[in-house]
Parts: sequence; structure tokens; C-alpha cells
Amino acid sequence: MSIISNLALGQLRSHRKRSMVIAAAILLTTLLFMTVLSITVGIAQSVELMKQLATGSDAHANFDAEQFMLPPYELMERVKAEAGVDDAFLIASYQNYTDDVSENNRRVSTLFAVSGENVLEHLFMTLEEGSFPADADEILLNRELYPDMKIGDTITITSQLPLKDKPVFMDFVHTYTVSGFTSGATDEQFPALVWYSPEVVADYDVDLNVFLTFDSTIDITGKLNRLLESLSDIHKPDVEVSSRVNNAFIGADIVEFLTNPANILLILCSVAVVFFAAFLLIYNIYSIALTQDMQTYGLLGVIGTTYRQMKQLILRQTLILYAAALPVGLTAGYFIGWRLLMPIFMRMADYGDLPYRFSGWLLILTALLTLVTLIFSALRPLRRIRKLTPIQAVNATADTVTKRERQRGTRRRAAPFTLAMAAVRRNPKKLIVTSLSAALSILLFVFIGAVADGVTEVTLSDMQAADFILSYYRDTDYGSAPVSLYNDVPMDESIPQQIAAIDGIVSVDCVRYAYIQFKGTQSIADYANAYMERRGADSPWISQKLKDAAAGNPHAVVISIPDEYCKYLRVSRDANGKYYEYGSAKELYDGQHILSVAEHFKSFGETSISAHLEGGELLVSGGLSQTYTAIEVDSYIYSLFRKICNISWSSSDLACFVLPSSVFDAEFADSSLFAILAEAENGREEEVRAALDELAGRTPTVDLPSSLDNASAYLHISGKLEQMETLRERLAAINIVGYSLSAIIFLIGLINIVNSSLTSVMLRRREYAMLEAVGMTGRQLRAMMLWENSVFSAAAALALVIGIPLADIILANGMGVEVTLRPVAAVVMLLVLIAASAATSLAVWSMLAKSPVTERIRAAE
Amino acid sequence: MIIETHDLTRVYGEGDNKIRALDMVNLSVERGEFLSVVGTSGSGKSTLLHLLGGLDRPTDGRVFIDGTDLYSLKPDALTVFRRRFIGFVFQSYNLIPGLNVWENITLPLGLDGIRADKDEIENLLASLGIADKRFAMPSELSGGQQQRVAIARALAAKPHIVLADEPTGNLDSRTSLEVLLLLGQLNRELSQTIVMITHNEELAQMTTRRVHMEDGRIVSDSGKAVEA
Ligand SMILES: Nc1ncnc2c1ncn2[C@@H]1O[C@H](COP(=O)(O)OP(=O)(O)OP(=O)(O)O)[C@@H](O)[C@H]1O
Ligand SMILES: [Mg+2]
Repeated sequence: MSIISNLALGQLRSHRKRSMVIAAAILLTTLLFMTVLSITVGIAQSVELMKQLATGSDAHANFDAEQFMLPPYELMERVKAEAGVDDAFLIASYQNYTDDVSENNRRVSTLFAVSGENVLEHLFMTLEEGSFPADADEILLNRELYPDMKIGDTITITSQLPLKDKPVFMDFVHTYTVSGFTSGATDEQFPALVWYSPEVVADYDVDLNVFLTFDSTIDITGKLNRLLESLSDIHKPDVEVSSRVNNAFIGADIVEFLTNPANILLILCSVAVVFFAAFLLIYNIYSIALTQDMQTYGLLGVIGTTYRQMKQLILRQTLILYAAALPVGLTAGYFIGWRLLMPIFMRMADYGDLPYRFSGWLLILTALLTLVTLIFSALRPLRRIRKLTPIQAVNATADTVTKRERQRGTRRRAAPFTLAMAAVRRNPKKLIVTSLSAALSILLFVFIGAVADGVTEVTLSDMQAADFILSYYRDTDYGSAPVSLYNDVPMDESIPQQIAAIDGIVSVDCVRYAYIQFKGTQSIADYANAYMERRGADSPWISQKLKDAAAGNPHAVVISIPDEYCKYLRVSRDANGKYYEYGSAKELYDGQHILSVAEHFKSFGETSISAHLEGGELLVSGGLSQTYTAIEVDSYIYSLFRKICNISWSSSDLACFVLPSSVFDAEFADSSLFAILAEAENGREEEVRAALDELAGRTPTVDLPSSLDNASAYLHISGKLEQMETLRERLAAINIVGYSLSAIIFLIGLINIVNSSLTSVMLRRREYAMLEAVGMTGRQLRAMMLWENSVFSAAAALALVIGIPLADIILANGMGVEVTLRPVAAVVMLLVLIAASAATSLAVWSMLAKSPVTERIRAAE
Repeated sequence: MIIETHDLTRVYGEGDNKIRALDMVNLSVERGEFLSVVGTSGSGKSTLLHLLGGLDRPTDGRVFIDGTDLYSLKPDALTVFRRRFIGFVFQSYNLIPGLNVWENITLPLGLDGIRADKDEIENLLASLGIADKRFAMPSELSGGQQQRVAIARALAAKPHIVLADEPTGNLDSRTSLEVLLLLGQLNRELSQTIVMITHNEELAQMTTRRVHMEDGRIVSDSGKAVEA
């Protein structure tokens, strides 16, 4: 073994307690990193999984099979054989499918035709019963959606497919025999699945895609581009390549993920917090250790140890402890961080049921981060040695200092205060390090608390505004859903009065609507014509409303939002991307302006903008008493509507305008009631809810006239209080993590301060003994320690006075929400630290003071 | 000349507190000399020794060891130079805690990446009378034994010069004498150059040359006349 390692071992052996403390610090650091990384990985994985379930497949990317010259199955095989590709499969979608067996005979969805049984797992489907279709005449059905069917039954399915030669939709009718049943885990369930056969749909222009998964999810975009490049020999000339990446994968565009400031901030913040906390602890221990060992380092310098060798010495000592503590830390981290805390966090955040994959990378990353933190913190104090000559280091004991102190003591009066100030002046660095590290841990403490508050704030700001929202809902295949405006089922006008009569209700506001026809613009007519042409003139999708629009008299729905709630409708963004408040846009209330919603929606595979008036155009209508100037808003208004209530309409044949209720009521004497927003008195929410439930229960259901499936609508209660119920746990999770991190930081700060005041007294015990020997009373000594202590405290307080506003600014810019650090918490923590430090000093002193003075003077030798 | 100083000056402190611990000292030592430095407390003996060994930085003047201008070397080079050419013995605090006797002695060699010659070290230990203590820890040794280990370490790398600052200061007169006889023997048998500080006139008399310091200056030198 090399001499340096020998020396390292020797030092570890002769400072057993210190070595244990360092090992414990390493363990704590590993544990902290592991927990933070586990939660980060958990969040990333849950986001990824949730998105995959939402997109319906785990494929990494797909592209149109159309663009290539090879027949579909040959193309699939070719793709499979390409480098980096893990699996490839085909999915064709036959749209707007209806069947002849379900209760109401109509089921609007998409029938999928796939290349083989292996596709099932890619779609998160499992074969519950029977087998995958053996030929193009067999079908797999979703068990949940077809509870009454059996294997061997037949089903005739009609879907709409565009013809090859001209883009007109034709019915494609095919009768299948049921070969089996599936169940699925995705958000949207696929009702049925068949085997894709190119011959069966030879006449149609089927939307056929090659889906694929790569060996890894990193840089999917780059991999897809390289793949398409290498397929260029079979690419059809003059056809544009169209391909899509499944954005569910975080690694899909790792660059985008990494350049998203929010993600980076989150990860960096958590890692930085742990790093800082661990740094404070480890740095301090090593710094104190260096002071204790200064003489030894001086002696090593005398003998001829270079600075590099001293670094090696510290490094090896540290690595030995790291090697010993890491396995324990990782094991503890795995069980506490990954198995215990992460699932708790995920469950509370509502992601509990997802299968999380543990990755060895987590261990490696934790080990690396711990190592970097450790080496950085351990080597840092050694720089002090560099500035000293060996002889200064050898003499850097309390001894030389005391001689001078004694002189001073005889020259001036040895008042505790003067001596304390002298001690502080003698070692200004210690003042800075101790007070800064205390201030920093306090700052981290309140900072994390504020971040948790901020996250809560952001979460709450997405919640609905009103305590209770009453509106019509209906049951669908996919659960209950709000009734759309185009269903045109107004609520009974007596309901608002009934609600207002409930005890504990503070306010009742109504969301109303009215239909109008207005003078269309050329672009609206063009839009309607183009839409009709693509759909085919006599398709059931072409409504009278569209025909009117094409003829220059489009229909529109005008929505009334209660003035009170208009503040949630932000109209436009400024150069910084911040929203203006709708409520503060005075022209909306002036009776001259109206909001015109331009909705983006998908049709024929491309995004279109709904029929709408553009900003500045005039709304002229026979149904209106005057003309209004349009203020155009984007479809982001949808997400803003959600804060008020769920509003939807059929944007393909209806324009949509929005007015504040004060203007709307003056315009429409006769309008329909869409939703009721009610606020309850604080503390009486439960009582109000019960009354509302009762009211909803006795309100009769209504038929949905324009619905395809003859469903009926019932009164449903949603709103802030409802959301609170589900959010409560999620918020609790955020707070638990926030506060437990805070608590750990607090603990580290405490360990730190106790450790440094403990060693400070130990190191200077001889100096204190000397002072006692020259006639200082124990009382005076204690007073001196407390004075010294208060200088550190004052410095820490000063650092906080500067630091808190600074952190405030960082937070305000980083999170975009108003959060305030809690000065009270900071003050309390500061007081606790001061008290702990003073108590430690006094306790150590009184323990030492039990032995006689002479002994103590000698003992330090 | 193995040691030569030119106008060596060391000033401590600033302003009113300025202390000229060494004032224009010119000293030459020949190879094989056993030099003792005496003088009152605070006369600058330790300061001189530290500067000779490259442990401190002079305010002014130069130190040549075997022709090398010591303070023109970079810090790490100076450290390596010291390790190879100079051995130190202090009055106390000489040994590294946590390393046993053997490890302490071979430490300078190990730092240089040199494997210690086992027999040589054994001989050294034997001649210093601490052969049976080779695996003892410093805390288990008496003051005199510690001092002998320190001497063994100073000699282990076969330095050109051994510098000793009151090596017998903490020892009783009998042990002091033993240590001094040992140094003298090394000086005679191996022609080892030794510079030793001592307060003990009797011991000083046993060396080949005596230098007397006062107020940072050399006031008398038995080796040659000092100009006034
Ligand atoms: N680190 C220091 N800072 C300030 N002054 C110092 C320092 N070291 C030594 N001195 C001063 O330099 C002068 C010479 O000190 P030095 O230690 O060389 O004396 P010495 O001859 O070795 O004394 P002693 O016999 O007591 O060991 C003394 O006046 C001393 O006060
Ligand atoms: Mg001295």
C-alpha cells in the first residue's frame, strides 16, 4: 500500500469519532440524493406513462406508409431490419365506424386494423379471451364495450373511408366473426381491432401508418430522421415525408426537455438544495478537522509533503469512508427513497398505480453526485494550508495565540466583552463561515417552504373559480361528460332562484347563451365551402348550419360570462408572454366590443381554424340591436373557460362570441341558461352541498335532442370544492416533500452549528483554562462565550436581511407566482440555531470545567 | 559550502509592532560541520533555522543550499528539495499521530516514491536504541524515545543537512547527553552536516563550531572572526 494511503488510514484510525461523523454525513447525503432523484424519476416516469396511456400506444414514432413505394408489409419488414429499430408494426384506422349490434346502433369511433398480435401490447391491450384474428374476416372486440357478445358471433361494421381517386368518403361495410375479446389500459379504449389486409381496402385511401419503437427512447427525433434518411431509396418522389414522434417519451426530444427551463429548474433546484445542505455539513466537518490537524499538516510539510500529496491524503481518507458508507447509503436510499418515499409521494400525487421501473442508473447517478459533493466539500478547506508556510502551520495552535491574548489581558482589563471581540477579530474567517452557513441553511429552509407554497399556489390557480357549478352532464361510453352547447338543452329558469333560496348561499351567477345568425365574411363562406367539399356534399356531417354559412349567413352562439368571473378570461399576451386581464380590458364592457373565438381543430389530418370573425371585423346581425367590433381570441380561451365552467360547442359549424353578462343581458331579453355558479358562505359549504345534491336529485333529467345516441342529461355539481377534494391529497404530497426537505435542511443546519461550537470550545479549551488560571471567573468566561456567540448571530441575521429579499426576487422570477418567504420561520430557526450554539458551548465548557485547571492546560499538549 | 546565506533578514509584524527577528545574517557552513547556535530567547535562532530549511520566507536576502537558491524555487519544488536534502528535528511535536514508529521514519522516503531499505532502517533503529519500538505508536513512547524516532526520520532519507531546533529541550540531562552523543557520532562517522540550536552551553561545547546570536545578528562564531 502506498504511503499516502497508509497515512490516510492512520489518520482515520486516530480520529475514530470524526471518521464516524463523516461517514454518517456521507450516508445522509446519499440518502438525500437518492430520495430526490427517485422522486424526479418517479415524476418523469409517471408523466411518460400517463402520456403513453393518453396517446394510446408505446410506439416511439410513426410515419405514413403511403409515402413509400414498397407494399405495406414489405415496408414493415424493411423498417424492422434497419439499425436501431426494435420493432415495427402497421396500424390502419377506419374512421367513424358504426356497428349493427350495440344497443343504439351507433357508436362513433375508429376501427383499427393492425399487422399482428404483437401490436396488442404496444396498444396496452391484453387478449382476455379467444385469439387474434386469423384472417381479414375476424375481429377482436373490447369486452367492456361489448359485454353481450360471444366468440363466433358476427358483427357488421360500417366505416367511412375516402376513395383512392377522389377525396370523397364512402361507406366501407364489412361483416366479421368475433375471434376474441380484449381489455385495455389506455385512457381511450379501442372498441374493436381487425387484422390489416391491403386487399380488403384496396379501393380506399386508408390512413395507414408504420409505427415503430427504437432500442432506446433517447433522441427519438434524431433516430427517426436518420431512419427516414436510410429509407430514401424507396421513398416516392415528390411526396413530402410526414412523420410523427410520440411526445409521451421524455427522451423523445431530450434537447427540448433539457432546454425547458421549468424542468431544469425543478431538477437543478432539488439537486442544488441537497448539494448545498451536504456541502455545508461536510465542508464544516473537514474545515474543523483541518484546524485540529493543522500541526500535523505543518509537520508533513516540514518533512516534505507537497500540496498535491496532501490533497491525495484527504482524497484517500474521504474515498475510504465513501467506500464504506456508500453501500449502506445506497441500500438505505433504495428502501427509504425509492421504495418508501417515492411511492408515498406518487400515490398522494395520484400516480400511485403506475408500474415504476427501477434503474441501475439511479444508483450510479446517486453515487456520482454524492462523490462530487463529497470531494468538492472535503478538498475545499485544504486551500487554507496553501497560504501558510509549514512553520506557520506547525505553530498554528491555540498556544501562540494565547500568549498574545495573555499580554492583551494584562494590558487592558480582561472584560468578557473585550476578550470576545478580540477572539472574533483574531479569526474573521470563522465568523464568516459560521454565520454564512447558518444563514444559508435558514435561507434554504424558508426557500423550500416558499417553493412548496408556490407549487400549491400554481396548482390552486388552475382550479375552478366558483365553489359550486351546476350544469348538465350526460353519460357516455367513456364516463360522464358535460353537455355541449350544440345540444341546446337550457336549464330551467327556476333553478337559480331555488339555489339562491338555500341557506348559506352567498351569490348565484348564470352562464347564458343565445343563438344568432350574422352577416358572414368571405373567409367564413370559403371555409364552409371547403369543408363541405372535403366531406362530400351529402355526408351526414354536413348540417344546415354549414350550408347557411356557405350562403353567407353563418350561425353563432353568444356566451354570457358573469361580469364577476370575466377576470379569469385573459385576452391577449404581451411581449413577455404574460396575459392581460379580460376584466381590465375596458372595451369589453363598453357595449361596443365582443370576443370572437378562433378555435383550432383537426380535420383531414391538418389543423384548421374554425369559422370566426377576425379582430376588428364587425358583427352585424338581425338578432342584435347594434353592431359589435370583434376582439379575436385564440383557442387557449378553452382552458380559461374551464376555470368558470366546462363550455364546448361544435366549432365546425358554429362561430362563438363571448360577452360579459351586463352587456349580454341588455342585448338578449330571451336567452338560455347553461350553467349556474354559486358561492357558499365560509364554513357552511357542507350544508350547501347537501342542499344542492338534494336539488340536483329532484331535478328531472332531459333528453338530448341532437345527440346521436339518445342519451339524457342530468344536473351535475362540480366546482372548486369538488376539485379541492381530489387536490387535497396531491397538495399534501407536495407539502410533505417540501416540509421534509425543509426539516432535513433544518437538521443539517442544527448539526452544523452544534458541531462547530462543540469543536470550537474543544480546540480552545486550553485558552479558556489559561484565562481561568490568570483569574477569570467561570461567570465571566460564560459571558465571554455568549458575547462571541452573539457576534456570530448578528452576522447571520445580517446575512439573512440581505439574503431573503434576494431569494424573493429569484423566486418571483423563477416561478412566476407571488410567493413570500416566511420571515417568521426564518427568525424562529435563527433563534433555535443561536440557542443551540450557545447551549452547546456552555454545556461543553461546564463538562470540561469539572477537571482542574492545571490538568486542562497540560492536557492540550 | 553546503549552506550559505546572504544578508538574510526576516521581519515580523508591521508598523509599530515590527520585529527584526533576523538582521542581515551572513553564515557559511562547510560540509561535515557540526554547528551549534546559542543565544538568548528571542534572539532569532529558530527563525534562522526555519529559513535555512525552507520552512518560512525571508523578508530579504538569500539562502543557498549546495548551490541551490532555496527561495527561487516554486513552493512544490521547494518542498521536494527539502524532502531530499534536509532533515528536521524539533523540540517537540515531531511525529505524525496515527502512524507507528516505522511508518513515521519511512514517511519522507515514501513521499518520494522510494522503497525504504529495510536493513538500513533496522541499523538506524538499532544504533538509536529503539529497535524494539518499531511498531509502537508515538503516544506510547517517552519524550526521549520520540526524539530519537524524530532523529531517525531526519536521517532516513540520507539528507545533506540535519537541522535540529533544541532537540534536547524537553529531555533530562542524561538523555540529552545521549542524543547529543548520537548526533556527534553521526557527524564523525558519516560526515553528516548538522546545525543544532541549544540553550545548553555544555552541549554546545561538544560541537565542532559554535555560533552565538543576539538580537537577530551573529555576534560571535567560533569558526571564524565576525566583522563588527
Ligand atoms: N510568528 C511570529 N510572529 C511574530 N513575531 C515572531 C514570530 N516568530 C518569532 N517572532 C519574533 O521573532 C523574534 C525571534 O524569535 P525566534 O523564535 O527566532 O527566537 P529564538 O531565538 O528561537 O528564541 P527561543 O530561544 O525562545 O526559542 C522574537 O522576538 C519573536 O517574538
Ligand atoms: Mg526558538
